[in-house]
Amino acid sequence: MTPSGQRTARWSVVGLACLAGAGALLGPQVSAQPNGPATFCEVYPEAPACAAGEVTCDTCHTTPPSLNTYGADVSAALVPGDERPLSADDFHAGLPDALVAVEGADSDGDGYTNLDEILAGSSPADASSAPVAGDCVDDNDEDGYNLCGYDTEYAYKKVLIDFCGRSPSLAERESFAEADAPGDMLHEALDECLDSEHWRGIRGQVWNLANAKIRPQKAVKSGRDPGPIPLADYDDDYAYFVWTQTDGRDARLVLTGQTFVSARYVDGQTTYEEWDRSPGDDQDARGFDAYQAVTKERRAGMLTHRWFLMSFTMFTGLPRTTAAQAYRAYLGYDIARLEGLAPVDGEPVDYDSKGVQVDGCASCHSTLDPLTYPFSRYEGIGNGTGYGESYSYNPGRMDTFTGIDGEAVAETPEDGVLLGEPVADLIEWAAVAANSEAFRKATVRDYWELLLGEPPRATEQAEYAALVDGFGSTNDHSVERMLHDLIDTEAYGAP
Amino acid sequence: MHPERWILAGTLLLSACGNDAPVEESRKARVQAKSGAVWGRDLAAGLGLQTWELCAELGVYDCIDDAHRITLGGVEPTELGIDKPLEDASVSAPIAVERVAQAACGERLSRDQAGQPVVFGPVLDRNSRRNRKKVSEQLIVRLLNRHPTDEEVDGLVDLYDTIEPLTDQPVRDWAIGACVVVSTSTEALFY
Repeated sequence: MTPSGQRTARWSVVGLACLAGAGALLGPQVSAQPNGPATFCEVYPEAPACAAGEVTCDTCHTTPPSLNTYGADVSAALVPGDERPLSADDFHAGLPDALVAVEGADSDGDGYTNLDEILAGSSPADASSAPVAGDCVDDNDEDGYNLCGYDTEYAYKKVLIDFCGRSPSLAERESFAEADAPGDMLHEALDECLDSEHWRGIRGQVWNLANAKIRPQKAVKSGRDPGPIPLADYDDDYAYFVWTQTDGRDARLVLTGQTFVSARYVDGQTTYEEWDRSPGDDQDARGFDAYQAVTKERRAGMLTHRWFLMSFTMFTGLPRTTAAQAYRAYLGYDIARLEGLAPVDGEPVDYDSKGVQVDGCASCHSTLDPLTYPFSRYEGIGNGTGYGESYSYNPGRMDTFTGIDGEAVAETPEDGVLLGEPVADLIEWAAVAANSEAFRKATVRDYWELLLGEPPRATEQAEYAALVDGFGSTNDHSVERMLHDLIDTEAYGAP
Repeated sequence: MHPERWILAGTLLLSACGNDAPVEESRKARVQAKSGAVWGRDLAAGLGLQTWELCAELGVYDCIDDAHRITLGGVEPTELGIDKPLEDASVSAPIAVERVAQAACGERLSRDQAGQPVVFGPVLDRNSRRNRKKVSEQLIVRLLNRHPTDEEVDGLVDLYDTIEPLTDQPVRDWAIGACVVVSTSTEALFY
């Protein structure tokens, strides 16, 4: 079958799955899996962990695909006796019964049955997590904390530490304690701290939130304070990221924006300035080592920044690493952990002859490859014939790789599939991504983990889900507005 | 006397003098460590110093921003590839914390001895139990941003009785020791 012929049915998507679980349960050959986390919530809709519609992967897994103790018990109870790997249909049909079968067991040995733990919002796989007995009691008026609900004084101290980077002084604490409207004062403090250097300055909290997305390496930095091999300047990426997250801007710009931003530190304060130049003008202004080479109509936020293309695409024909990083950094799905699998019928085609159709590869590549195609026209450091078009959009790019990856690589389409939706190019890819629930969840989760030090707990899923919904609706994708809601949650403000 | 000994003595003493009243446990039990930058800012504010005056290894490398940056919960993505703070505190974190606190408290004492006192003035004027109490109260107000309890003040004041037989400079060692005890307390380091 020719690559072209293989693409005919590839828009049929089986369904998005977190789904490491099934991978482990079914075996390595799994290709299209049912959505285990959603099935769990169909069985236990009243479980606190199901407030967002699906449980998280760690309900059954340690690091996917490895199972935790509860997941192992479920696996053992899943159509026992049937030959592994199970088919997707068998898995889907058998999972509810398997979940019920282990309800009376105590997988983590903490003295509580799995069902009691699931319904109470504790983990059936973690002995240190157990249902809390009885009503909350707070008889101690002297300790300064309200342990049974939202505590504005506690939240005030936390806001100053988290966002301003310092504890409140005694005078500030006393003033807050005497305030007539402490809730208003709390949000005024947040507004003030959102402008602090600790929060939005160079190497501040928001800046560092981008570390895992940008993956900077000093050795190949260009621009100011360059490394020994200056290839691209990640300062552009950091500045742009912080700019999209501050001053009420629409955070979707991180994927859809078509301008650039520079950061300047003057008189103890960082300012961010938006700018726009053509590649030629930018080369004149900032030099060969640093200029942004993608023309405006082909830009997709940070996905087409020079640093991103340089460090992830590099010399690759079909830049799977670039797409996987985009999927991981901005949508929260790490394909290496079998997250976000949405297999596409007829994929992977294997245009570049890498052998991705074999069992054990196809299960991930049937998702990864179609979400990679839209990245394939953007140059990295060099293509198959040289370095002439580095970091730019080049519609004929795949033709240059025929000598390396075979003739079929030239047939690699530019259109692909993301989250089950067909996309014509990277501009559409970015738009689908930016408007997805996955993006909203990933963005809120970034800040949740930054401020609370851990992912949302099972008992906090309802608050997390409300933040995600609000971020995309009433808050117009403004991170700062979402943060005002976040500090009002019990997760944040109850000691 | 080795400084480690009076730090240990002070820490043990303070913990032994804690409030014995039953403490109610938070159901959430979500306690986070302040980053080195935040803790350092609090420490500097409490001691009337600039953050860069707190501590420098070999007199050159800023303890919080540079020498102990990762140990104290910082990141260094561009050269070390550490994008996020370490999930678990390293075994050297307590040493780094004490190192910074000891240097900062010593710096404050030196400045108080040399010029306009900010924290330790009363005991530098006259080494009495009453003045040690004033300094103890000041340390808690300035470093923990709240009023002290009598038990806390008594614990710090009594620390002098433990240190005094062990050193020929009891005022210096008590002042720095009490300052280190407060600035490295759970309340100062976590929130």
